[in-house]
Amino acid sequence: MKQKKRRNPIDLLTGVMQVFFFAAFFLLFLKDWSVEALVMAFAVPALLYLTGAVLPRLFPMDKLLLALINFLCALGILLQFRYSASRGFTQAFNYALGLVAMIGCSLMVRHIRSWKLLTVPMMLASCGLLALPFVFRAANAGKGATAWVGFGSMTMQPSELVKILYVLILSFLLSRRRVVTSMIFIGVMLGFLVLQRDLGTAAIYAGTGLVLLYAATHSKLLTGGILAGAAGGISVMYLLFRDSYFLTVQNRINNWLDPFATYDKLGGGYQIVQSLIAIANGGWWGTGLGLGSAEMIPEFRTDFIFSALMNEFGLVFAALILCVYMLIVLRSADIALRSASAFHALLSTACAAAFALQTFIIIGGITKLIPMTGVTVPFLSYGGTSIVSCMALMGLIQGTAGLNEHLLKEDRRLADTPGEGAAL
Amino acid sequence: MGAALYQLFALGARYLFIILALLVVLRAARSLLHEHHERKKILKKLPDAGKVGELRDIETGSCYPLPREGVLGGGHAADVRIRGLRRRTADVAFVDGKGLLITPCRRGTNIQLDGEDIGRGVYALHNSVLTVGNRRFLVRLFAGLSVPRSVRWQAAAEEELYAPDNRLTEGIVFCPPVYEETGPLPVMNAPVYAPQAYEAPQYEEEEPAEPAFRRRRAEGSYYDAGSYTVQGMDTSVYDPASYTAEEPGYPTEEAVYQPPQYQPEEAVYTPPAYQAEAPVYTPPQENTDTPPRRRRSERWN
Repeated sequence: MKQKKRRNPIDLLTGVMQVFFFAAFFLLFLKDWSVEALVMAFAVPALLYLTGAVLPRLFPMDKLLLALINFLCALGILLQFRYSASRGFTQAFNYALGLVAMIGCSLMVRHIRSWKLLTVPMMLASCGLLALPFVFRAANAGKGATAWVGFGSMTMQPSELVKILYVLILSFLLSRRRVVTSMIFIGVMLGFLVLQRDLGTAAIYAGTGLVLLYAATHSKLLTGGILAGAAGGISVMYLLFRDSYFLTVQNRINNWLDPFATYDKLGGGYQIVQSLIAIANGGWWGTGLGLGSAEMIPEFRTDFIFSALMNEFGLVFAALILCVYMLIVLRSADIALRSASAFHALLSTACAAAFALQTFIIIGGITKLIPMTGVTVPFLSYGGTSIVSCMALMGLIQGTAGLNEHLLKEDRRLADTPGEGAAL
Repeated sequence: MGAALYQLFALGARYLFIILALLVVLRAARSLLHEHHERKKILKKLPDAGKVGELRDIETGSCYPLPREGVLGGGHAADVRIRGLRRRTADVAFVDGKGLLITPCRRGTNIQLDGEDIGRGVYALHNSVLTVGNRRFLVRLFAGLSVPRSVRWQAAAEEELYAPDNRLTEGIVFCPPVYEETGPLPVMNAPVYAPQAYEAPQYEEEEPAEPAFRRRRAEGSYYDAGSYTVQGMDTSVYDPASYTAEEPGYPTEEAVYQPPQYQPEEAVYTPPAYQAEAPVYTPPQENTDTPPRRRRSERWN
């Protein structure tokens, strides 16, 4: 009797995603009869298949994690395409760059045996990159934070790229139990970010550092002490400088507390109010793809893209997307727990923590749970730096996953080999 | 398409999108849980997963599993935790092709490998002796690892290969260490050689003895096993004079091996009492009166 061939569950998952995006882009095609939408209706599912099926054969990768990342990236392309076809194609190009970064970081983790010699150069590079925004002040005109660097018409945020170096350096230092050095490094990084007034990124760096310190030392006393000290220091600095250097921060806190009071003032709560109205307008099921009015929200392509998604797809769909984010974090934590070496375990933990914190901070900000910051939604927001840095973080986790599988095969081989001390 | 018609399609499609997203989430969660459980099952069958060997305390006999990479010390957070040592004594890391790299965590740490100070770091091989303070540990690595052979290990391995018949059986010869102390692996009908009862011969710093077959080929004469004897075993059955070493492995017409006449009343095999002290191996000497050693593989030809 012929045995029924069991399909790979990841292939079925990819199939469902393909149906989703085909239906979404086809719907957009029906709206405007645009050829680009029809091309995307076939191209995006094909891209999902190629990256999901072909890529793991060429580079050892965790298929489930890759499928979830692809789903979010394709959703980001869809959301950008819905408002502007050219931005949709640019986002697709940024996704391709992100794939290259992911593969590069994955290979780097798998093949670099010793990070000892690279630690000091990486530290110096981090400090140098974070000092760049103070040089390129023109790129930061009109923005609350001094976090951007401009090259002609292109701008980038160095702190997004430094995030990769930050997790690598911290993971190495803490795997060698160099707690004091790690704390000094975290302090220096946070110092740069606080001076830039990029408090969202500072919160991500601080949270990631704290999670790593606890993971490496298991010391509740140390972690609690650092948390209490940081809270005290932040409060003192805020009280001292809130009317001068941290005026932007003060405005953001006022907007968070009562956005309607500053609705019509410059730098007021207009953004948050529009976001809340868009979310409420979407309701449980959404207005429908192509029928929303998220263009009314300033920066709806970058920081408030999730509000646009909630407007058109609804709260239920948004909750499911949050579940996808959670699954990515859980999978990363699972990969960290399987790691054979302390460095790789801490690296995966750091990447998962940074990813989770970034998601929480931005989605908490747009829903008025916490004050708004300038971080982007991972994989959904428009922008090359954002998607490349998020994919690079995922690449570090993929590298650890590939190494785990390789070591498991080695363990199986060793278990099957009798005797001891035999040389090959 | 008219705006009203499109609105109808879009309002209907939003439920489709929610259903598909729900399917994605449920499938992904199910796959995550399934792989997690599968992994747990695999790891249950591999109790030594992530380990490359063990450190065996020479005095007390305690075993400390060695991870691929970690910290050796007495601290709570140490990967190889040995009470009585400093919190962080040394970093250990297995390097393919080289061995177990032991690096002291700080200068002035009293760590020696095979009697020599490790300095900034040294590769430990199988059967190396690691001395930390006043404690001595034997480094034992799993078979199959890509490590070069140490002189001590090579000598011990050749001793096993050429050991006399009454110490070898048809089953497994060299039993790997078992952490749970379950004893040697079961063999059908013969006692099993237990390496723990056997002390490796203490060689001075010299080349290991040349194996018998090599010496036979080089000299063209029969190999004399020296003064090695085994009680209750008639080993004087091989006639070396009839063997010529022209065709390696293929004896000529002259070198036809004459198997001994079977004498059941004489060829009674009495296995030794393994609870007694292990026999001490004496290196062979140049003496024509002693019976020759036979390779394990030639015994039953």
